[in-house]
Amino acid sequence: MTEPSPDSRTDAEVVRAVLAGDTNSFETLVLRYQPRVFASARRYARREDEVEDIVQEVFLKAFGKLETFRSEAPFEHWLMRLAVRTCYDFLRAHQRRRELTFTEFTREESDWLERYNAEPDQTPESDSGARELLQRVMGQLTPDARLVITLLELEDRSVREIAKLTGWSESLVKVRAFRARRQMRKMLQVLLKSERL
Amino acid sequence: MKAELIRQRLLAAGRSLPPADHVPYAFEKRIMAQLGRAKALEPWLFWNRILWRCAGPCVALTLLVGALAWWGPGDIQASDSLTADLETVVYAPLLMAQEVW
Repeated sequence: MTEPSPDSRTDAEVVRAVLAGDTNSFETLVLRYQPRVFASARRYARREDEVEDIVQEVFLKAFGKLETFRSEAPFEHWLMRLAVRTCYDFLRAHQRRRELTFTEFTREESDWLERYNAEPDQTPESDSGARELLQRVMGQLTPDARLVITLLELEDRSVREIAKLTGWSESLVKVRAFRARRQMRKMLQVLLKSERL
Repeated sequence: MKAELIRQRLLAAGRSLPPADHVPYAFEKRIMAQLGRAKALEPWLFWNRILWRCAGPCVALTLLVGALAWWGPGDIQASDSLTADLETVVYAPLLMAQEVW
């Protein structure tokens, strides 16, 4: 892979250049922030082609809305707001609500649950079965719930940060977080009941 | 209670390994190519944008003229019937042309 030549301009300078008609400068912004946007998109989509579509949409939207960027805040914050909102739109468009059953689990997922049942304190957190199970449970949540759990509990963001990223009020974030946790607990309770774990 | 403990454990598992940030090869070229395609459509977008921007002032002007016509000072030379007024306005250029000749 060829290493792209580093651009010493600040984000604000690059944005000004793009707005002045130098479209090619936009590539500098893409190169700078695409790893960050990819990591964020991978929280919401499992298939790599879906992740790529999300990232592409984020940058196309960013280019189209570049006029609305105010240089007072860092470009990264502005871009991540767009990324989070695009991921939320993706979740809403791909919403699937199906009953979660134990039989659908992979071997690793069921093994992790069985081990957890036998020795709750000894079950490793870094186990791939746990991560797969988390992905599966998250996939069953509503888009609001999934977004808020991801930002609050997986990315450790504050309520204020989430409010800025999503455009929701702080109290709405709190309400949605409360409901999301309850939804997740209910889902796991049903699962535990059905399997008498 | 048990569901909450499992929930906490699963979230801890999710936090322990953040998602990868690797980027497919030359992905930025794909974005730039998409932008190039979008730019090809730009003349139409530009035209569309102008039309939308003009729409607001046009509506405002129409409302203003309408308001003036409705509440403004009445035309001193206005006749009693609307038909006669309309006829005068429509034939005004013809009458003026006749006067010139």
